[in-house]
Amino acid sequence: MAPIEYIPIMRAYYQSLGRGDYPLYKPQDDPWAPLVRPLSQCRLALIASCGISRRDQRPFHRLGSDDFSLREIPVETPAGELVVNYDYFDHRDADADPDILFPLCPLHELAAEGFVGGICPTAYALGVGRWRGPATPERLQGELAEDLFARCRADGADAALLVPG
Amino acid sequence: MGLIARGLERRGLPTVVVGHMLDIMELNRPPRAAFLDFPLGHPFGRPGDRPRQLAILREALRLLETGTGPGTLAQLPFAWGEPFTFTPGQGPKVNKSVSGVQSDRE
Repeated sequence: MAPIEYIPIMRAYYQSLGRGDYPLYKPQDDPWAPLVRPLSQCRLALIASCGISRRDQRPFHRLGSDDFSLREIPVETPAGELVVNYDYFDHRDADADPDILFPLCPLHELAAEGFVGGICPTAYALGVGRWRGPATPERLQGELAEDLFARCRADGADAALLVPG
Repeated sequence: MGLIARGLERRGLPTVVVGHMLDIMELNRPPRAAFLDFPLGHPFGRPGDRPRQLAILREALRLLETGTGPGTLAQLPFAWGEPFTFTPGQGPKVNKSVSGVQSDRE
């Protein structure tokens, strides 16, 4: 079975809601940062855009748009303290086991077995949601990436795993 | 996520993106991407299946070492095992009439 083509589905969905064109972005350049040491010596950062937060944090809007805020999630957070705020996709399986979406326990296991050198003490959760403003793609690559980069560097990250919603 | 990956790599941090939306990933060209043909919301598979979660995570992270250049996009060797569909705006709170987790994967 061929993979689902999401772009036509989202275009039709946006039109049905009277939202205009589904926003797409075609980049013009090819950034690339090489890994500077073996994975087994790398400290890994986790960044997820699935609208997840801790129960003691301000939740993301369930159908948010252009939200550039983030939630700091200590990587020792128990699964039971995590909640998926989004209503953009069916997350009942992730409610039962957040590791399918926000893999804290698997990352701890890979660090313990030495597959990766370690994991950063804080993971970052985003809930950007729907792109509304015309500048959103540039802001994602600009101010939000700059903030995340500074945080990851301060956490000693050598590389980052990015997981969508 | 692909655009944030691009912003991080431009500043010098290597990334790997895990995702389900192949056509959007091909358009956004994250530097390194792992495609899984799974239903949205399941990048590491099914709840409770830790061995597979770990296997997917290992394969995705290996791309950090094996990625050959910008736009590396690898389909990981895992299958969902049953047909599924996507209907936008079908989260559990929006669509309360959905009675079981199988109903949007038929």
